[in-house]
Amino acid sequence: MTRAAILGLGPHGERPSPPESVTLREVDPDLVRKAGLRAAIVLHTARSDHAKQHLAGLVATLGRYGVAVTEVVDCAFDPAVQTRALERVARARVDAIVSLPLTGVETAEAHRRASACGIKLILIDNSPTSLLPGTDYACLVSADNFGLGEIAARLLAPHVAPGGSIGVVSYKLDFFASAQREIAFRRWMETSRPDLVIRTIKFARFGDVASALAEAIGAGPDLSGLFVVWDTPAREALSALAGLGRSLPMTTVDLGADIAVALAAGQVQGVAAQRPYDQGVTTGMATIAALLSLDLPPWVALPAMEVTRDNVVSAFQAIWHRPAPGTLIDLARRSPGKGGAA
Amino acid sequence: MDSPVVIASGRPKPRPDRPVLADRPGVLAVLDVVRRGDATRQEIEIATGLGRSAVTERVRALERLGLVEKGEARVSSGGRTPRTIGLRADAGCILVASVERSALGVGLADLRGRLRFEHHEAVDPVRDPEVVTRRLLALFDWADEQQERPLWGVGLGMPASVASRLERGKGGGASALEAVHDRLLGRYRAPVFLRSTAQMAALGQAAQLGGGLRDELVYVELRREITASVVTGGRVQRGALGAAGLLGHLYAGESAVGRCRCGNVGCLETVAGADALLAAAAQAAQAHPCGHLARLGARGGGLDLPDIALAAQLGDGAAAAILAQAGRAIGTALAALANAVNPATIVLAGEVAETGEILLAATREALYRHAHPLVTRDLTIIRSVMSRSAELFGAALTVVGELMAPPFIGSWIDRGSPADHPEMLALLAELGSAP
Repeated sequence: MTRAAILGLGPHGERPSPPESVTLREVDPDLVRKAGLRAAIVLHTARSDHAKQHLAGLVATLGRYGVAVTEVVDCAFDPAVQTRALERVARARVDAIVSLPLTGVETAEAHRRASACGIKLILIDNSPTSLLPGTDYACLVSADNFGLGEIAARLLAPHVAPGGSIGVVSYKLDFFASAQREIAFRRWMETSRPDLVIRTIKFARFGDVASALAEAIGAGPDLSGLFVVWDTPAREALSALAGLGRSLPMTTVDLGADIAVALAAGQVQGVAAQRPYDQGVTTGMATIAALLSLDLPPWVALPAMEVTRDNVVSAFQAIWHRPAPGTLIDLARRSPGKGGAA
Repeated sequence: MDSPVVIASGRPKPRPDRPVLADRPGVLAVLDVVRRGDATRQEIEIATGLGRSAVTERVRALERLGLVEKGEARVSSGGRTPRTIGLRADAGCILVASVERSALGVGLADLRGRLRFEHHEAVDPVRDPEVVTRRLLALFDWADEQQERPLWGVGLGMPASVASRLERGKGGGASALEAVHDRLLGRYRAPVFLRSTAQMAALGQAAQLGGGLRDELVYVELRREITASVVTGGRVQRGALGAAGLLGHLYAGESAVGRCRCGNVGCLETVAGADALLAAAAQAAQAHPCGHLARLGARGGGLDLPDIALAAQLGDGAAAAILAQAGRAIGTALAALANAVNPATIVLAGEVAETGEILLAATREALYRHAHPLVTRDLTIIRSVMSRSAELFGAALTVVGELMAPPFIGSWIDRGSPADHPEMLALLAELGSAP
């Protein structure tokens, strides 16, 4: 099998390590099961398809090794909620915390304090700026966010006419993962499509995407393409465009169920997909290894997957680990490439 | 700091809207104390020799200038609870970057040197330097757009050891790098400081370590190039030409027969640098087609250093031997260096060090075998966990240290920003970028 390249570097410039670098010794499963360990999971949100898939892979893996998940916290994208949650679960003396940090700066101290209590800290996707692997956290497991941004740029470029203007709909918080995607998207465009003008459209919270987009279109009606940094705001952008009576070529990140349908229907031109279930499994394995104090690489990265209308069905199956819904298969069948369902 | 910058003679005129400093030396003395770490008024009194009311007045003057702020409360030893005074972290910001042969890192730091944002990406080693420079500027522009604080300085780590143009005449500087300096200066209109990445990283690593570990330290970067920066008394030793620490070009013994990129034969880099390890791994993969190295290499994209580490972890004997051999060569070279400078701590950093315990154990073993027992008696050897963040952190500390160094700050303190330093304005005028 050909290995998909990881294009990015880690939060501290580390080279990526593959998921298979997280290994257990033969005796380890028994050691973990007998120890009766407990873990808490603190997520940025538990509502998105990405988060649900990640959680499913993570909880299944921890369960396989007998680690009890005592709490799953949905921080609703609120750094203050995450800070309080980390303090609470640290007081509950769990053995491990798996967290997706919300910001680079604001939640750093809460994560550091939890780790300083002797709790093994495993990070997903983001690393608060001042935290270091091996001392403040055991390991970071993420997608290749830089690769995701580059794929999104490559998939959007053919749909934008020369000299056009592209809007990058990005998140206002200092969120490492989405910043990586935006940086990579811009780099690819600056190198390969220097004729295009890139405009930034920032949103601070969900619900703001529509107004931010309307404002951007009002200021520059010539907008001819959109990159939205992940699927939840992309769904909002699609609704907003429909409300404005506009249609724009769009790419995004994450193959959520709605975006998969929009892709098959031709409303979205391409998706740079993570593999959240597989990432959850890797995060679970890293948690087990950390609980056993095994040597872990600082950054474990999973490759990005390029999804278009042509392979949306097979990609859905690979990413979701279940059959694609009938609607998706029907829509994909109508496309020239038949959605990879053949 | 390493070496003070050359400043223009004469006292600058304060801006009309800035407060005039009544006791400039006293104010600068107080600032010099708090820039080294938060201090209570009592600690400032002891450090400066100023009386209580004089310290209070000067702290107030610095607060009016927006340079210091109250910090945490300390435990009272009777009377009012003392609060510390520290640099106001958000008064300005620093852009920092490190450019290496295969990677580019960019960060944004506050005035305490803390990184608020950092980004690293791979660069093509054979790319035109102009392409890398343009990429650096694009990333700096992007980072600068994400924040609203005034830009106070730029720090850049480069592979070659150079001095900033402000230091010209002391350290010298290559003309190509001076051109980069001038572009940054003209674009961001703030003082620019250039150092070697290894020196920046050593400073960042030393600051991150606590207690007595930081003062007498050897920071070894094990990448394609192998460098060692010596920190003594908390200062990075840069050497007469700023080129100290070319550890990779020590002779590695008669078994090392490869020609080095420096033109010599048998340099340490030819047996323990990243390129040497990758070449050895490729050879081993060919020789052992059923081994883990061959399997990992067959997945496409070629072998990289984490692959060698993973193969060794999975029990590939050839991979383990490659790492052990490199570790022994590194340890032997470090033993000579340790005998010469007697460090308290040796920090091993870089992608080669990140391959894991096999290489590190072999390094330790060779070092202990070949170094004088007295030198290794209390020696601590650790692997850095900062990776390339050390370079950015060190760059931020370098810039903050230079901006706040007494001779330099004296020329801008009542102008409000280092960007208004008279020599900065003169340089900008020379470049044709004056306001």
